[in-house]
Amino acid sequence: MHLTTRLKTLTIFFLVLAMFGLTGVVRHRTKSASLTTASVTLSNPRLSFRGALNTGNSVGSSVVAIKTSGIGHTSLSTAQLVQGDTVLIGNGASLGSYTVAATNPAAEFTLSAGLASGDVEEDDDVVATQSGTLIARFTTANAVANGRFRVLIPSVASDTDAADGIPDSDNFDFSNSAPTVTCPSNADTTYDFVTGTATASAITVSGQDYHSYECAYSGTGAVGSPFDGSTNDYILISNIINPAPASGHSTGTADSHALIIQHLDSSFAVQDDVGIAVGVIEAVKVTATVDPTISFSIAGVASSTSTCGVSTDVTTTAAAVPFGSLSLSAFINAAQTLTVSTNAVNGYAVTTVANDQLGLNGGTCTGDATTASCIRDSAGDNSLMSHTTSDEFNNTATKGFGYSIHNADANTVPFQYTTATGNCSGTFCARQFADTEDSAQAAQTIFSSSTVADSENINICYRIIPTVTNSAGDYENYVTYTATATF
Amino acid sequence: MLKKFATNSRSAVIISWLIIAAGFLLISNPALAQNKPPIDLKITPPTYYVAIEPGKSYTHRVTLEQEGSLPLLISASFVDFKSDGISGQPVLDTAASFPYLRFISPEANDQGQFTLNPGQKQQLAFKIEIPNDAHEGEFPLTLLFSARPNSEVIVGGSGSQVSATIGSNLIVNLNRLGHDRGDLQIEDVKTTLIHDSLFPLSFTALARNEGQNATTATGSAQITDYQGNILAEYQVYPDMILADSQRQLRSVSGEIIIDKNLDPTQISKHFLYDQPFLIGPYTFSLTLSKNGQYPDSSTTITKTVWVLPYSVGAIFLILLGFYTTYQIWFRKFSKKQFWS
Repeated sequence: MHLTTRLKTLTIFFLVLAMFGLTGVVRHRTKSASLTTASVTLSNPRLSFRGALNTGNSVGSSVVAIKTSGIGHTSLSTAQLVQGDTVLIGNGASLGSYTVAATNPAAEFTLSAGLASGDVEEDDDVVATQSGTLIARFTTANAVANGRFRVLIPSVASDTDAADGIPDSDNFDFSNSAPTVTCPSNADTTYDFVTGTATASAITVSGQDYHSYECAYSGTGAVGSPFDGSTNDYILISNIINPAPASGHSTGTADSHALIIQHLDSSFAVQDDVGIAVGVIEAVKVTATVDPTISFSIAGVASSTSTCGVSTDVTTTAAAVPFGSLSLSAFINAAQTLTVSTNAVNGYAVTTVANDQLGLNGGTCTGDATTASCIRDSAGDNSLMSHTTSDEFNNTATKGFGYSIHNADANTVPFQYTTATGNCSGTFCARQFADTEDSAQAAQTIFSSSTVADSENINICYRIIPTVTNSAGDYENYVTYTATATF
Repeated sequence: MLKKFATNSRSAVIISWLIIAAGFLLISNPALAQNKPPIDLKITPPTYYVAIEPGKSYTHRVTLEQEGSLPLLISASFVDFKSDGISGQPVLDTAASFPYLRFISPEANDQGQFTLNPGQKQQLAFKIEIPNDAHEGEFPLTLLFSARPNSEVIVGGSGSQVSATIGSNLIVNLNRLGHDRGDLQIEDVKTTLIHDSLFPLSFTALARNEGQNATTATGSAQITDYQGNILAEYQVYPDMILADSQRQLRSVSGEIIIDKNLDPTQISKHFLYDQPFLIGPYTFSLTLSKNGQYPDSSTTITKTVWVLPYSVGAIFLILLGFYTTYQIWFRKFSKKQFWS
């Protein structure tokens, strides 16, 4: 073969070789990219609490004073805590478990039980963990065969502290019980995932330690595969303990934490990655300013108002039901409006009781007296009415004093004027007031709720008609309405 | 001239509307003021738990506000209460057996009375001082504030005088050791032994606290079929159960997070399982922790019920009865026709 031809052949050969080499280099360089449309969401973005006891806490006391400055821990206010939170108090491996009852003021909170011995020393830990699930979504940038996706979550450097179940300032704790990594359910030639794995404080990137959560797969991989919970499943990590506030944390401003999602090849080399920021914040800032309360009001009702199926005859005030001159042949009807609001989660109850029957000039009426100087509690049209049993009170031949209820929007009433069961036919179903003079009859509930209430109200309707044997004069008694929260 | 007239007319119209608008404002403001009820009390907190060691003292504070329109004379007192045994409603006694509490607000006179004006918010203090030799125990109290208008109420003729009382519950636990000594036991699980296939399964659970302080109900429940498959899971709603009392347990679905954002409508007084058609045996299993501090110490109760389609059977029998009756009547009618 001519030398020239050989040289040409060799040149071409080496050029082709170089081309393949360059291509390999270029291909290698074009492999490294960012995962796209990546996001991380926390099911519970509340900060964990890690504070310290102040001086003055004592065994048996349910009042806990915490330090608000000058300590290594960063939870310096009870604003992070809410009623019902579980807190661990103590030191080292011995932490007592308690339930938060109230969190006011900022340097103090109360428990549902007293502090135990060993949990009262100054600088003892006060810990309330907030944990939840983390969802990582992303889209692949390259097809990586037999690779794995890895989510890195910041941790403290100490392996012991990183997985002790105690919140760390500005870092996530691995928890002292193994978290669950739920990988996508793909099982085809492109992606076939195995069970996820989690390792505490396993990876260091640029001097920062990270917990590692991995989903490995076999298959070819693909470009632009969205693991978004729609096309493919996302990666779900459970039981992560949220950080305690970062140093210098400002209440109401989220602490930002940088997570990393990586796409690794079969040699554990990072092919693609993306950094994601997630914010953790007090969730209680708004609700901490809302105190639990109960409100109760009484208002008068004007005459000629339609309520309880009748038109009222007299105008009442909040403190008085002035029947005026009583008729022997017709009922006198009157009403008042009672209203309750509460944000106590278990609701409220309103009860009523009278001191006695209506006595002449406020005199005592013993028992269910039917004397000339007492307007008795009505026995009802069927003679079955009591302070606990309803009866119709619609016949003017039935003398006495009773009440009914017109329910506007109270959650629960024991009866109302339209009740048509038992002894009542639904015209004016009524009861007697409980009478403390008569065998100390217990106050009776007239309306209630087992949950929060927003201006729930009823009209209480009074009805009276004296007997012909009642002496002339003014008859009086006292009625008390009591509102309390259900505990 | 016409132009001047038009300008003047336009101005007159504008001024007229302004006067009418001002009139509405003047009329509406007094009406708004009159909407405030005369007595409208608000108290914080509605319920409070405090544990104290004998030999120690504690000052409890409540805030009372008159949001109504009248100056009020308030009388402060406190009484014992018991749980109603079902829903956590306090049943007030007429007296108090707890001797270590006293009302110390300087605003009040010797009878515990003070004035509360409209819009006024008053913080009131109660001192609890426990002697060293006090017996341990739990003392549920209600601090009561009775209100009447701070002027003589004149009732012309016969009438009833009315007072509004608002209460704040205070549960005091005297406890030397500080441990949660609540001891919840499942008192009973109520249901019918045989259920109908077309109606939901319903279970009602009652828990009793045999311990020495109020504690939180903590637990879970599930319903399984005859093969042991879990059909429904529930969480016990964390209601407080006082010492030596009982309370009906409430349930929340196992999938719902119980926190401050929980919708109250998701809390049920029963453990319900509602499916279109059920048949066969079903088992209800309830586990309740002894108390909030030691959730791992618990008791479990199970109940098996049978679900049968007896309403379907009853409907079938009724229809069969109608059909049989019709057949008998039709034959009789046909015979009559034949012989006639």
